[in-house]
Amino acid sequence: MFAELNSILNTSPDSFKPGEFILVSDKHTDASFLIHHFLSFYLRAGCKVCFLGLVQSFSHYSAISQRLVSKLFPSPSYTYCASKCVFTVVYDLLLLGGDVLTTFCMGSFIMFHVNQGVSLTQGREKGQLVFLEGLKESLGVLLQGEASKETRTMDFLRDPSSGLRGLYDFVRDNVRGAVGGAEEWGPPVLLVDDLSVVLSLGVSVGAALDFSHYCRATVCSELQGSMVMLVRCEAEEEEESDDEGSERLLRGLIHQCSLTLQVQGLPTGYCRDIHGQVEVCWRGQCDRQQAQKKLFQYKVHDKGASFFARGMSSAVL
Amino acid sequence: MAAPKMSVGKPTVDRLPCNTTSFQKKSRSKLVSIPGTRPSIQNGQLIVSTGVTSLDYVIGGGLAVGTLLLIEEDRYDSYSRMLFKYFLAEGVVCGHELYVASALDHPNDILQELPAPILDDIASPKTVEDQAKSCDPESQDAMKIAWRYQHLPKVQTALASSSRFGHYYDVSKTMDPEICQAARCHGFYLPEHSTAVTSPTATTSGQSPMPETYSSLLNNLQEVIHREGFDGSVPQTKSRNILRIGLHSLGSALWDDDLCCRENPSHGHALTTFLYGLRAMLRSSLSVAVVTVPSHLIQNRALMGNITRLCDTAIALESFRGSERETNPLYKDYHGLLDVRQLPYLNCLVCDLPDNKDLAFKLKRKQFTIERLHLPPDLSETVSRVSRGELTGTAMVGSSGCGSGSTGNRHLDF
Repeated sequence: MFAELNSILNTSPDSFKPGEFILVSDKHTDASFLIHHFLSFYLRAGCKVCFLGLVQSFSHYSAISQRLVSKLFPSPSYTYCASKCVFTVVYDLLLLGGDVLTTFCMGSFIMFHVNQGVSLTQGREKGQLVFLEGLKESLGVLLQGEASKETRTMDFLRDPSSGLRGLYDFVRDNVRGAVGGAEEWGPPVLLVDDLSVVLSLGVSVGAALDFSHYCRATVCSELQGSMVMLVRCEAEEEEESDDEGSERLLRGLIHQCSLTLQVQGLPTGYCRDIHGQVEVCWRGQCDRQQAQKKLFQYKVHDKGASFFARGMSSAVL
Repeated sequence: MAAPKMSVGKPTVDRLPCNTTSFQKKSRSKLVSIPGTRPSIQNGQLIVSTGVTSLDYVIGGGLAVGTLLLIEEDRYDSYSRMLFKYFLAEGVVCGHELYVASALDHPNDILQELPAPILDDIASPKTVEDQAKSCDPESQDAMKIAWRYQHLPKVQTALASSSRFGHYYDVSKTMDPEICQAARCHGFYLPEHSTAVTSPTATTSGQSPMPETYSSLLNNLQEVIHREGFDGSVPQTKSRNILRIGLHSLGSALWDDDLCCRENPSHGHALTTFLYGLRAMLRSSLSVAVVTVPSHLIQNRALMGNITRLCDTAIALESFRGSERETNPLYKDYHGLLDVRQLPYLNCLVCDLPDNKDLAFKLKRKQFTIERLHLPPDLSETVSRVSRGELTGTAMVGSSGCGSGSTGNRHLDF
């Protein structure tokens, strides 16, 4: 969870708007760091999360979530230097180490840094997180796929013209949650990592838009939950593309969503210190008359991402 | 700079055992020690060498186990085939198992053409040291003309890493047949398989997105992985090993795929579906794959973008042979350009972005070097207007950058 992004979007795990459809799109770059942000955001908020991980394995997200550290609170960290017997109190305004650090000194004086990351395996065990591993399921379908299999979630791999009905059934069954469940989770959240990969697997744009519409009707309108989708585009410079798939999908989804985060590389070229720019756009809602747009630049590092106004990168100042 | 960066992050294993303290770093990693692999410096992933040490450096130390490297072929498939053979030769030398699939040449023929390894690789670290030594006497009595640039690192063009992770090969000789036969190799020669395959699935379901060639390859690969136990199915009777998968010229017409033939192919999603299945297989087994695709024949750039995004690491080769650049004096030292199209994000938010994206390669007898392309100072009286923007324009247009890409040919002129 990136604290700066929370302040830009005016949300926090304790208070966020229900019924939001957030669209994350990228062009010539990779915006999946935002998906990790939203995953840990909603898990920390106590929502029931349904994650469709179609392009990466579960361990990838789990490893990253462990390392994401919230930058909100300055906390003192006491470090003990073994050779010098000196205590230093350091206010760590930047990134804390995510691991448990124990320091023993002569007086058996132990300090702990608590792991601030979110554990996905724990969430999965408790039932808060339902994770669809697209890659694993796809193998069974692609290799001599038997039609008699009971799970039809990844059916679109065998027959792309059938659409994403199986995927929607999976979402619908898992988003409602158990009726007599022991834990009471918050409103349901659907996260889709990379809806545009289904386009490269042969599904039509119309089917993908239908899927998102059905999910939005179920998750956002009916259950007052939230939805976050990632769409990756490949922009053509020549503009000769005849209604290219991912552009059409992006336009259709922008029309459906309430908040877009469009991530692009810098228009002037490649830079090591500024990885790109994010354009945040709130679409006109009933309380806001017109759409509001904000532009930020970002840099992704190992344990998070920092967002700053244009020209305010720490490398430049 | 190449050398200090490597020395800072050197793993403790390589340090000489002359430490005076008995303090030992407690390694928390549960990585098995498989010959020919090592944990990556950046994120601890298990990586193998591609066979070319410069390429290892460019893609972030090596190829991570469980990932896929896409090589976009150059026009005559000369240098990409060379990289393919380097990859397989490295597997033979490290003792890995090989899986070679080809539609054109029989896998046995490919294996007989592998370059011979240079088994005494003392030569390589020496060259790096020689360069360093030659620089020092110069710097002592260097004239302080460019004092502004003193604090900037000296430009080092060779991009070799100083560890002994990879090996060097002599291209003029082929590998000894005995060494070759010691390696276990599985081959998939398409003409042998296409007659024998019967696909019951095509009759039951509607229209499968993959042609028979790709499905039979995927099935054969899965069978090999499962039988040899690379996915952990077989209990550990023998020590673990890596499977190196080389798939040559996928997407060409020989694989019954019209991706390279038409602008709107009928099986437009065949290769992407195959790559999706391959990715799933790689993530769940101890294997590494290198796929070469004749991308210069693919007319639809969007399809190429889809293919690239389904792979982890992607590089593109562009050779100068046969083009007007062959006689261009600026390129006289090099054989072609190399473009890193994509680097993977493996279990972390960042990938190892290179600091320079203008790379050129040259194939010498004992080394395939990849260097930074830099233009020498123009000392002629008339300033030549052939700028870098024009020359590398075609390499940069259409490249999807790892972190951010240049979207245009903005030649900033002051």
